[in-house]
Amino acid sequence: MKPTINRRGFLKLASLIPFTSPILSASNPEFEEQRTNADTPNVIIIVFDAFSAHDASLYGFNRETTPNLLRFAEHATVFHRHYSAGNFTTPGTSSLLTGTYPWTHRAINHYGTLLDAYNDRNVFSEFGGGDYTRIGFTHNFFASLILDHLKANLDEFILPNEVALIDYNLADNIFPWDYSIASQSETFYFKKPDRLSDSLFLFPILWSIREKINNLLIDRLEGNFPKGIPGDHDVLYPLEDTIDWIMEQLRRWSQPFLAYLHMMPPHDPYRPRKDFIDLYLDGWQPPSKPDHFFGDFPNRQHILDGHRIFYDQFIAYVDAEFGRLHDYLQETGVFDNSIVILTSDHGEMFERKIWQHTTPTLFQPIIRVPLLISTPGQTSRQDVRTTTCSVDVLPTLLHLTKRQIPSWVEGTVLPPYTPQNQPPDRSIFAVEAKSNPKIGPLRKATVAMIKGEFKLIYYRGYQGYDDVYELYNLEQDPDELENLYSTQSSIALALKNELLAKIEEKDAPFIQSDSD
Amino acid sequence: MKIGKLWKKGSRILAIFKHRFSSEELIQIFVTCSFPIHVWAIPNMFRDVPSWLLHLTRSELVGAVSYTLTFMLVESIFVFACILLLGLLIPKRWIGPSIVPFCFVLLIELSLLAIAIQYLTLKYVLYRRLLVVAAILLAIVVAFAVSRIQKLNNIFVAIIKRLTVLTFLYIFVDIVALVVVFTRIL
Repeated sequence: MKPTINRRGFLKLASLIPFTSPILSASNPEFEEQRTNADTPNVIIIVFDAFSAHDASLYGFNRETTPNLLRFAEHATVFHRHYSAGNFTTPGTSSLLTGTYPWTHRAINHYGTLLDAYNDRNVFSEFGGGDYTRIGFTHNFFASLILDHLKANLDEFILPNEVALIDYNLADNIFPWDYSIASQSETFYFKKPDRLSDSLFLFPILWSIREKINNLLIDRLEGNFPKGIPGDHDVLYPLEDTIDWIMEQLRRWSQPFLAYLHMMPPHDPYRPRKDFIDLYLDGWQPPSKPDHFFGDFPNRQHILDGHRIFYDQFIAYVDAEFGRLHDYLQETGVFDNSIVILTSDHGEMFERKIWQHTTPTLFQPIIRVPLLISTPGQTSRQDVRTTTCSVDVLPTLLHLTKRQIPSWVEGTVLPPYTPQNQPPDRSIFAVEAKSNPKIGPLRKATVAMIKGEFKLIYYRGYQGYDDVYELYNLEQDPDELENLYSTQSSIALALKNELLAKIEEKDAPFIQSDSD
Repeated sequence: MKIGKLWKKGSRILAIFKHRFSSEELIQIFVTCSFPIHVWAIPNMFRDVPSWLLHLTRSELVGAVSYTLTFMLVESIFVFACILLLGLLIPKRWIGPSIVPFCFVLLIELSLLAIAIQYLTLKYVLYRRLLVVAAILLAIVVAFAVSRIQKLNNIFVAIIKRLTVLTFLYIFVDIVALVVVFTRIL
């Protein structure tokens, strides 16, 4: 029998098509997955601590430290003038996670944490609502204090002991419910690095036991880490183990997920694997720079150059391990349905008699950090030379995942992802205020403002160095050798006025609370 | 019920020591252990408080101080236990009635050794070993002197008795801190 259908019957059937479409798609798991991935890509934020863009060959450093970042860059957007908003972990990480500057979120002190308001104003809260699994992991003690405060918005908060070869911390294991305060007290009581410990008898005993165990572990790892196993004073974690762990978790975490993965290397102590410790013995010397008034490194520049070699070796080790992760992400197709970000919380410095980053200064090597973003399915490299800041990462993520950007965010969507370009004269800031009270106006602080080609650094409230300014032209003088503050007075005055007005604006709520 | 059982067990354990030490001696030894720990740690803690004041709220500050005091209590108990164990291992006739002054001198000496280790030798293993050897030799000499010279013995006992009230004040504050810690974690 020949099937027949008249015009009326055809129209009736056609009218049913919109209703059948969702039923068909829901019953097809493959389709469902594709739809979900397109709308809600995974977000993987990889942070390597204390990673200065100045020591990455990706950004033109003459030592070949980052061949694997270069491979990643082939299918990512590379930001060449990207700055952290802080010069150590606490403010740097907090700005990345909240999209606000340190003078706003106020995680500015050593062991500091965010204002309570930011417990619900951060990348994890903005990806809440049930569709994303939100994971926070860090090796870094200071970053773990920040994550601990945000844990209400985390589905998984992973403390360093989860991936450590050994973890000497008590608080991780005994006081996980009161981690923030317990771990600070523990650190002060048992093991102040380079300072007298509160503990009279237990400290030397525990320290001796720790030394013995560490030596045993070094032997067990068959001399792979002749300079010591990567880690800090309390936790040891070969990066290989962490990368393996991440690969394992990527299979386990239910998609879509937002994973913040903050790894300690290449932060001091620089302990590369043995295959990297002969690198860069090339006799290269950085350009000579004048001593700074905050420089307190007791030895000569060649000692700092030696430390920089170790740092560069450690970066090469980090890069190699990142290369392994990169290959895994590529093989498993994670790049196809994920936004992958690689950045750092601050940089590192080996000049002007300043070593590392525990300094009131905000020179380029300390605040200029790598930023690479790969969006789902990106196949070619894109280079962005606009000045950008860590506060821009959160709004960019929200934009890329089609979420609303809240009004409290101080950053903007990064240039390639938004149709309208950023204004060329946009100012970005970095703030150092570890000796300033958390709640209170900035009375002892360093603030850097980068606007166009110029960078103004303002030192406020330091004994002997109150109201001191430095002005550099980063285009003509990227090494910040010539302070133009007195010679380019009109530019200096305009920038100074803008910076002081901004500080006044940001101080206002705290001046109010101060007087209360 | 459980607390009662624990108390009984604790009493049994203490009974082992009571053959060797009188109750008064046990208290004095605990004072001896606790005093240097607190005298060292409390000023050190107060050195940290200004940096805590920069970023901690009042309740967080109370929490941080409470943890520190609790750690002091734990350290005192640990050192006390070590001394008691040592007291059991050493034949009684070697020290006789001079156990308390001996502990006092030994702990003061160990305190100086620990401070020296912290100041000077954390990173220089050779010097640290030399210091430990020197401390052991000094301990033997002091033990001999305390056990033989009655006047010296009496001076130390008098000092410990005067320290008891102050140390019990420390212990009381430690126990309050322990309660605060329990309140925070429960």
